[in-house]
This record gives sequence, structure tokens and C-alpha cells, in this order.
Amino acid sequence: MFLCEQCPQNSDCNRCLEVLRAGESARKVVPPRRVCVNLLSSKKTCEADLISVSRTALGLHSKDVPLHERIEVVLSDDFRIIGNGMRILMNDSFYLMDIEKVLRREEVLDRLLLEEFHTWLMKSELDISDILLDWRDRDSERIRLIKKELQKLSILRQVDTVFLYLFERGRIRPLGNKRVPLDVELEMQRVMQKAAASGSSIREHLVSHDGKKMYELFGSPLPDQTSGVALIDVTTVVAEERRRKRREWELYRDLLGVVTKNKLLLLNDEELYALLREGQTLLSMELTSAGQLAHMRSAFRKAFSSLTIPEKQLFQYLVAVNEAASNTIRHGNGGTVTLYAANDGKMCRTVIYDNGQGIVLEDLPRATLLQGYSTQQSLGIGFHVMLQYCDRLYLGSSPAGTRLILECSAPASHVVVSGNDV
Amino acid sequence: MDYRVSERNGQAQLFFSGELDMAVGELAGKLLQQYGEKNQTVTIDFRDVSFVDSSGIASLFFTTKELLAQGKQVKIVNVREEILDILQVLGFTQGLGISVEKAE
Repeated sequence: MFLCEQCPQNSDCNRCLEVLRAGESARKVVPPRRVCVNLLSSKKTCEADLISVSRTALGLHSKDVPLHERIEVVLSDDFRIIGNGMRILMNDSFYLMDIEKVLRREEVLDRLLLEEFHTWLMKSELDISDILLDWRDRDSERIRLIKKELQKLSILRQVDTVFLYLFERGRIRPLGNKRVPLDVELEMQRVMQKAAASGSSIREHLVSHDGKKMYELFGSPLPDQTSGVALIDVTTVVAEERRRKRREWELYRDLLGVVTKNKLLLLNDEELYALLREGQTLLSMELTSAGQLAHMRSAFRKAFSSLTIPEKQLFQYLVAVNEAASNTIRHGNGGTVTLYAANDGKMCRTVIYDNGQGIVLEDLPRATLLQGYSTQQSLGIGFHVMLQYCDRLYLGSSPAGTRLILECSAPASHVVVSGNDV
Repeated sequence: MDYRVSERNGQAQLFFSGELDMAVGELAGKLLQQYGEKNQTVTIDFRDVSFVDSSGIASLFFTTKELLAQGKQVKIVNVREEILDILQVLGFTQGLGISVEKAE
């Protein structure tokens, strides 16, 4: 007999796989699946046991009816396989069928897609652990399916840096030996529990508790009611990207500084904060509409009375502040304006925060230096006016909004005598 | 901002007073357009204008350009020194090539 007596459960015998000549892609069907077979030449129908499968061939056991003709194996109404059956040994009940065509949901293929077969197989009421010989085979197939999903993501080039997990019955377990730290696994499990409820794929960022590691999580449902999870360590990639952005930002900062002779300086949040710690607050107000600008100017004029800066200079400074405030309303969905002054009254800074989407780094030179450049109907010279009438501008911008500090200082030669400017 | 208008023999005079900013800039432009279309010459008197910025002047700028293109004449007179300085920084005068006279 060609088959061993315990075929296909016998793990020591692989004859039913070897005869398919498909290498590692061949699979045993454990336990064998009883299928309907249509004999296309003799126009008969019988049943046989499906023992092994590959992309190009099937192994069938038919004790009573010979299958050495063109046959159709019916897995389901919308899943049929046509091929030529041939007996391997005389008077033996094992048949090899070379696959000619596969009909799957109105699509005709030349080969059997094993994942499609697997899906069909899993739909039965059989316990999953009985279908394949070894859970390792099942996990290998799952790994293959997960990697296949990942290959669709064009940003990925090194799948071997991925940690693969399986989410099954509410729990996470690794596929293979590589694991991430426990705190990340727990977070992964929490995310997948939420995703499993929706039944759709998920993509999320995870950060380790110590903040030193960052991961991208991709979760995708698999045909067997589990979910494949791929966790990619992106710590190095993110750090490199941050370094690159920092270098780019420094380049723009140097450029703007040189062109404006250090009148316009880009600062990060930490540096801007350091400026705000100096001096005292004279006034602060919210701006949401153009109608509030007159009130703002009136408040500033009152506050200016405590400063020892020449009146003409303060008037021009107020024009600059008004330009910045108008920008906040026009481009930034409103914001806040705060006036700080040095204790001796010789210097003041107006800080304007807006609630807009910020100015993209690449647009900063145009937005600040190019006269007539504006995304709204305006003259587009607000920054020009500010640069003319302020001693210095400090600028920080991000998707959270733009921060602008306008600085004005009394000239070194300016002396106040008995309340009159000199 | 407040205003008053006088018209005579195809010449209009617009008197603006107060502050010309984002809140009223569009109104100033509309007034200039309204009287500029009906008259050959429009003189805008800035005697009582105490503040101006780019938002307040933008509409006046674009409307003046249109009137000049139609062959009309536009003048700005009695501009305070500090306001004239701002108009120069804004490029209002150079950009339009119109007469802007300082207040005496």
C-alpha cells in the first residue's frame, strides 16, 4: 500500500506530501476531510477523503471508486477544483490529482491558494487544533499571513525587525522567540482587546513605560478568528527623524538670522519661555475678533505710560503689535496678547500666541520676509512692518499654533528728565 | 472710524476720522469705491485719522488701484506725520504713485 496505515496522522511518514512534489508548501489535512468528487468523464459522483494539499496538487483516498480520470473535487458550492486523477500504485486506493483549475467565488485560478483552502477548512466545526498536525504548522502559516499583510506597507523594508504576536481568545502570545518588554506586551494586549471588538485592522503607536522605546503596532484579523499582531521597533527611526528635523530647523533659524541681521530669531518653546520669565506682566487679553483690536490698543496706550521709551517709538511699536494681533485673528483663529515690561521700564515685550495651525518651516522665509506673500486677502506686509518697528522679533511655530514676541527697547541715548523725553 | 462725504461737480471729498484697522478697513474701501464710481476725482482727508495699519489700508489700496485703472484721480491729504511714516513703510504711496500730502 502506498499510504502508511495511519495516514495522514503519522508524523514519521510524509509519503502523502512527497508525492505532491511541492516541497514545503504541501500540507497534510488532519483529520482527512470527506469531500464530494464528480467524475467528469464517467459522469458519476462519489466521495473521497482529502489527505494532503499543495498549490498544484491534491492527495485523495478513495477506497471503492477509482479516480484515475478527469475529476472535480467539490469543497463547497463556490470552491471547486478540477484536475486529473492518477493512481500512484496498481490496485491502491491513493490518488494524486494534478490541479488544472480552481474555482473560488466566481474567480478561476490555475493554482490552489492555500490560505483560501485554510479559510474553507477553518469554517468547519472541527476543533482548530485537530486540523493541522502541529500547532507550529498553524503558527508558521499565521506568521506567513502576517508578513504578507506587512509587505503591503511600502514603508517596511526589514520585516526581520518585527516582533510577531498572536491575539487569541483575549490574550497575546509571541510567534517565535522574539519578545518585547512585559509592559509593552500588556499595552499591546489592551489595544488588541479593543480592536478585536470592531473586527477590523488597527495601527497604533506604543511607548514603553520608561519612554525609551517606541513601537508601531499593526493588528490584522486572520481567517481563523485570531488576530496577527506585528510590532515594529521604530525608536531609532524616530530618533533619527527628530535629529533630521532639528538640523533642518537650525538651518532655517540661521538663515533668517543672517538675512534679518538677527532681528528675526527662531526660538524653541524652552527658549521662548526663558524670555517670558523676565520682567513683569502689564496686561493680558484674549483676542477673538477684529472688533477687539481698538480696545487692545487703548489698553496698551495706558500701559505704555509706565515705560521710559520715547512716545514716537511706542506709537510705531503699537502699530507692529496691532499687525501681529491682526494676523492672529486672520490666520490663527484668535489667541492671547500679553505685555511684559522690564522693571526699569526701558524695555518691553509683547507675547502673542495664536490657536492656528502654525507656519510650516519651509514657508517661514516667505511668510516673514516676502512682501505681498499672504494666504488671505491682505497686503501681506505685516511682518515687514513688525521688522521695521520692533528692535527684535522672536518666533516659534508648530501645528499647535504660532508664538511671536515683539521686543522694543529705549535707545541707549534716551534719557527721561522730569517726565519729559529727551 | 467715522466719516463724512461732500460731492460737487464730479469731485468727492471723503473725511475719515479715528483709527483705520482690520475692523473698518473694508468699509473705507467700499466708501471709496462708491464715491469713486460716481465722481472723476476723490480726495481722502486724513486729518483726523489717528491710527492706520496694513489691514486698515489694504482695501483702500486695492480700490484705489481699480479707480486709477478706470482713469479716475485719487488724492490723500492732510496726513499726520506719524501716519505718513506708516504709509511709507506700508508702501502705500510708492505702490500707487498717488499724491499723499502731509498735514500742515
